[in-house]
Amino acid sequence: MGKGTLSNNIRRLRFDANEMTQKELAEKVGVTRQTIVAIEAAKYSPTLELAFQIAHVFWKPLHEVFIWEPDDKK
Amino acid sequence: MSWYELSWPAQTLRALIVYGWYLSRQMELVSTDALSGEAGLRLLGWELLLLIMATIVAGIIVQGFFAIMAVTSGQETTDMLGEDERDKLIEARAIVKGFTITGLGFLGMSLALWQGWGHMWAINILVAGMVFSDVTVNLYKVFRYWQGG
Repeated sequence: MGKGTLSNNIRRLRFDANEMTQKELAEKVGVTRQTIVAIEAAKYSPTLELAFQIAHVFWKPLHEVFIWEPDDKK
Repeated sequence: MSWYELSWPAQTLRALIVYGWYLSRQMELVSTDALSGEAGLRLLGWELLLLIMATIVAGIIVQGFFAIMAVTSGQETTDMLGEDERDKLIEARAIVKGFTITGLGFLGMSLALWQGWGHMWAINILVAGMVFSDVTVNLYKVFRYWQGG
């Protein structure tokens, strides 16, 4: 299987969650605000545990928060 | 960039300043031929000790300042400082890069000993390898944090 691209809906989910700030989300999942910034910008792929924690904050299943698409998708 | 992330350019500068100071002392000692013979080896040992102490003290001061700024500005908490999973990943990757440079330093030292260049060159090549390993680690972190990933 080839490589893929990981994107996410965190920015929209934060907005829907009463305009939660990046700092608030960071505090809820125990990382720095910079890590949330990097994840939102798809510059850093979180560990599976952190991904589940973020999904849990928004009460959403993982696939509604993170979307992985293979590069060879036609 | 956060205060914690900004500490790495500062650490790079710290490493270069301390090494520059050490190097200027070495050049002075070489010009007066003070590093030759057994007495020279002993003197070199003291110089190395001084370099190590200066590196540790300056490192603690720089890291301490940025840690205090990070915590007082509310960017990080004391238990999270550098303990974030992204920080740890960047740290681990930086260390791997640094070890490569240290390895080159060891190779250089071995070459100097094998070629009979004398203890001054052998030790200073190893020291340069270690200092540039430190610089590489810090610069890699600067790059990754600047890149945002």
